[in-house]
Amino acid sequence: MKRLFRLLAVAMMGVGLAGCATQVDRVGTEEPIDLTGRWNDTDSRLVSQEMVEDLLSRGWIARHEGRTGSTPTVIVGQIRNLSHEHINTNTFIRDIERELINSGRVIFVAAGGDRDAIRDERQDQAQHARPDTVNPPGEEAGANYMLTGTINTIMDVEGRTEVAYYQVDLALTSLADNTRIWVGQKQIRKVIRRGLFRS
Amino acid sequence: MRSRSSCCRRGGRPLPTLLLAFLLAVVLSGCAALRTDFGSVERELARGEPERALAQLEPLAGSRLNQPLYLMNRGMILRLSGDLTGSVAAFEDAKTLVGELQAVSVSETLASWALTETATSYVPPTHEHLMLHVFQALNHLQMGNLDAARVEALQIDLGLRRIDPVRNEAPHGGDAFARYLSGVIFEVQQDWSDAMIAYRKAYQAYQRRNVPVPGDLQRSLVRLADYLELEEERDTYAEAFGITAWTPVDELRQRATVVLVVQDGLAPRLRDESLLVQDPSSGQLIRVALPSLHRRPSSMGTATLSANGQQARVETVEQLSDISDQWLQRQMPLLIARAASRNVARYQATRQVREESPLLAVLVNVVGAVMDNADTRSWRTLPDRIQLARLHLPPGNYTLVTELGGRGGGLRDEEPMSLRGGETVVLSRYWIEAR
Repeated sequence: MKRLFRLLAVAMMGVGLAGCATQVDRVGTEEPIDLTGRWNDTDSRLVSQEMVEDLLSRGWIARHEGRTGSTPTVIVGQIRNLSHEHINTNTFIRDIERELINSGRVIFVAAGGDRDAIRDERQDQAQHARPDTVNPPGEEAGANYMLTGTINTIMDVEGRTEVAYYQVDLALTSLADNTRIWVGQKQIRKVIRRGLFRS
Repeated sequence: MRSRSSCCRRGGRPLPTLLLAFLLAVVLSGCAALRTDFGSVERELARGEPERALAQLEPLAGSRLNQPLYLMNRGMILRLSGDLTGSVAAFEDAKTLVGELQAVSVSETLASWALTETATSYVPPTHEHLMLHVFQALNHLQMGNLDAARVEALQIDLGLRRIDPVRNEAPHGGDAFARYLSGVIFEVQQDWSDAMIAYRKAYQAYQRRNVPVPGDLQRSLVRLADYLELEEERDTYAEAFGITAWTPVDELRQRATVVLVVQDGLAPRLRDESLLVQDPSSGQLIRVALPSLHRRPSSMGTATLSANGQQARVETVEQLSDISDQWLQRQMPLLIARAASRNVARYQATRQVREESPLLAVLVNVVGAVMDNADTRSWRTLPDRIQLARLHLPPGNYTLVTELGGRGGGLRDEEPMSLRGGETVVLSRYWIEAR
């Protein structure tokens, strides 16, 4: 019995120590991993891919090119998080920017903080750079269209089960006359079942 | 067969198992005990030294069972020190952890019924959980992150729906100011109907608790009901509150909103009230340890917010000591049941061990009784009460003055500010005394 007890104690100690060990597994960024049921990188990537695909498949690019003879220039404006969870809209905006730029069908101009940093650098160049390498102010490409949007959620709760319904709305607006060029919507529905017990 | 009989008794429970359980209890109680002199944290806060208070809090960081408590206190101290980014991060970590702890731990539950009350992870009661969102929302508002503050308002609603799917209410309060603040957040974002719903629920919560409805909330209800053309509801509120004139929403939306939030005092602390008696027949120690509430109201008399001659006096929007009191009263039957259960478990364990070793039995009984403490953990850096004042100012340049007065003097702050129409500014002040 004593021996059994010692074995038990050693086993328990082993289990305890194993619980303390940190384990890291590398996984592909494409592999969806849902830990909490919240909005995650996979949602951000999939939504941006699908919405940009839809945006680029519509006829507004051809119409713009036909009218002006040039590739449309797009800027990403505010994408508001109106959902019930803190979503880093910057990563979502980056995903959209990447998809748009990589499509090669539109010209993309920097917005917000990026633009301010570039302007600061240009000002700095005017003071410190060799004259033949200075980029003068007033030569920025003005955007033809601005992409704005919202991320909304509707939550339904019943006991330990929750249904999270995410709706992403994006709209492309002409900066010339405020006309809506394109409106896109993508929904994601997640069923989250919260466990009754924890370790 | 002989060896089995030498280590077992009638009940069939091996002596080592009892010892193991006993040792486990010692370890668990050691884990949960606050290895922090919380009084020193509070003293530093009262001296106006939040950075030093944070240093005093650090020993709590290593306690797994107290991790939510550490993060909530850390978030609050960082908030008081003006490090809002740090406070947001700590509160967010606390929220994630508290979310995980909503599930039941079988081992911790068993330990609380059989060994000691403090062997469990600290899971904040509903009102503390709500305050976590409230202070996070205030952090975001102060930082100008209105969308992030709105997220907190939505999380408050979701949390209350989880707790009470039918009425969406907190069982012992804490939802009144949470709803009221949600209304303010929705209103500054011009989500009028959401604001109306939140204000309405706040009003119901104040009424339910039979506490005065803040005047600012009264005016907001009348104003928004009028704007949303809920004429019957508007007239009902106007009559109930004695309001005959109000500024229309269309006019207010051209103005800036300045909100002053005062954290007054510190939330009540829980004390261990123990009764230790010896059973005359068995000689065993019986200990009943229950928490009692010790209020710590401050001497702050009043606080005002003024701007170029316009003045608003703060009103109490949440009395957290009352809520804690109500929560503890509701908890008491369960705490008494668990205290009784632990005594029965200890009695049985001692009785069984005594057959093997009377000396060990005494040890099990005495140490077990000494270890059986009431759970006195709570979020002690919460204020005793929250007070609020709101001013709607036309765009322009102002000197915003906040004045807090109490025993031993007052605090006055002046802040020159240029305000735009539709802009919202949240100012936060605190008044903490050493008690």
